Amino acid sequence: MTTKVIDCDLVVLGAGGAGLVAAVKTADVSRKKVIVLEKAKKPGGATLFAAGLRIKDSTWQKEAGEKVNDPPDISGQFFDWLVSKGGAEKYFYVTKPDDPKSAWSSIHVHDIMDKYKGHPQPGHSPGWMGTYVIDKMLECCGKAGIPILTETRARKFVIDSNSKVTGVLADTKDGQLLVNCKACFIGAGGFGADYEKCRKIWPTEFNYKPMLCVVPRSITGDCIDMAEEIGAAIDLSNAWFTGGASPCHFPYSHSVQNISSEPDMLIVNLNGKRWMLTDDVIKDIRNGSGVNLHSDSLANQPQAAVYNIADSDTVQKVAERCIANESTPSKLSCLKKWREEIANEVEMDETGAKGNHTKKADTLVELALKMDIDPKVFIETVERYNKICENGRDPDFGKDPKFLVPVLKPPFYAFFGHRFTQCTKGGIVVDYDTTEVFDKNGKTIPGLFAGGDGITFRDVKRTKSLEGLTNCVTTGYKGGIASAKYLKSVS
Amino acid sequence: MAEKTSSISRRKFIIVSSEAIALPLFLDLTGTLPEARGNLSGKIYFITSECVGCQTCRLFCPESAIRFADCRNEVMQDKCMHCGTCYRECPVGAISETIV
Repeated sequence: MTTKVIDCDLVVLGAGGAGLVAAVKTADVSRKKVIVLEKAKKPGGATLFAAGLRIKDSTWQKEAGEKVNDPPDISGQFFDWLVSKGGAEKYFYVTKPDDPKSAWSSIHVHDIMDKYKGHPQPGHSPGWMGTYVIDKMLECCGKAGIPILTETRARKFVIDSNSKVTGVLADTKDGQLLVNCKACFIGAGGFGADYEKCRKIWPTEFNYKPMLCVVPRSITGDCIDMAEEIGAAIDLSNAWFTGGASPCHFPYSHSVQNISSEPDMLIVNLNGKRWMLTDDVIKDIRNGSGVNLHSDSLANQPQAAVYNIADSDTVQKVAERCIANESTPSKLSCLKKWREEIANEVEMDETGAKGNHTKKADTLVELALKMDIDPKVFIETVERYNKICENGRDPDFGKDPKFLVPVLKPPFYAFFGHRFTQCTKGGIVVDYDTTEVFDKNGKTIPGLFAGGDGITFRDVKRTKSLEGLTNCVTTGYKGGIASAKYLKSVS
Repeated sequence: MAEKTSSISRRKFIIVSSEAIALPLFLDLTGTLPEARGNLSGKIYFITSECVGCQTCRLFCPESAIRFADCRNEVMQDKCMHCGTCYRECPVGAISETIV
């Protein structure tokens, strides 16, 4: 096997949000030679599908009259830097903070990027904030002359006697590649595409293999294993995964998920029966925040799949509520899409969209047959449920009376959903400020940095509300600054 | 020839691996399909198990030759004009290009 050797100052593993931001920032600050290795055929990773970004203390927020801190939070610094790369005005707007006391507001894309207009899957598609970050960073990489080697899978760190990272060994299509480096930034993401790893950590939730995994297949946590091999500390005790199981989700239809997770609907499993929902779900229903069937509730049902049943009155009511409560372009485009899908259900089947998620029928028997559920069982369930609704009390499963809506008026609808996995959060233990990687003795490994999904902060707990893209780009940004500083100190 | 084409189109291309289906597809297509379908590029496209189902290929396909089935997208080979747009636009590189 031939081994090619190349030299650089910083090697970045993973061309996703964290990796590219770190690469561009390092090159910006230090003018050092940076190389990015990406295992997949195309750069982008899971970040491509990320939609929104939460930001504090940016110049835009200052101009919008929000109170900002000095010095600004790292997320604000990142956003200002991103804006300085040009073109942001065309796409973004700042939303008001969710909680008036909090200074965190979200930066959203005005509307899906021009290129992706008319996407069959608005909401969970490329074309939002994550795609913008990736596109912009790729553009910057081009300008700064940072090579991105795709289909190059890092396999092993090369370390010297002081356990300092001096290189990375990678597999390419034609052989081996040895990248000699002074520092390395790991931005390779979590392990959401590796079912066995997920199952080991969350045995109950991963009882059934999800029918689909919406994270790119390259996200298997290789670099977490690689780092562990050279003695890095790994902490998965507080790790969690996103995705869980919404009733209907991408790639079925995010629009359907958005709407059919309303608590008014009757939830049945593939046997046509209701089941005991876990406390989390009951709490969600009580708060009216939509049914998010995560945790083990759905995991233990046949095939971990679900049908949400509604009659035409409920469908109408849900749509009206959606218009009254929501004004974001993504939600409204979901509603539009949802209406189209309901109207075209039959047509979609005829053009070959098998496994269609929306079923519509004039009778319950017909609906049951479409869902492939025994009509007798299904009708029993519905009749029992309607009786419960009439009494206004649910002795069977304790559903909140507010959402006990009977299934009476045809046509009837059924929305299919099943478990899916997305990203995992947690992995290599790093410092919050510098993203330096710690070894098992609590010492930093010189020249090794990590960011993105596959990390755990040593002293700071990762907050779920600031996850996803925010964590990804801020750790990349911090890693970029820190590795530039490190490179300066060693050269 | 028309018969042969339609029989190919009904084949399910939901995909296990590129190697698994490339060979039978190649054999079926040789000598008949490229010419009949105006396959000037001499390339065929199919969607591999890398697909995350985002449907971006459907957005860009000029011939509406991609459908969404069984949690995956698939290329309807009888409609495909072999232009390679889906191959270029797939955000995760899940579409495979085979030279016939």
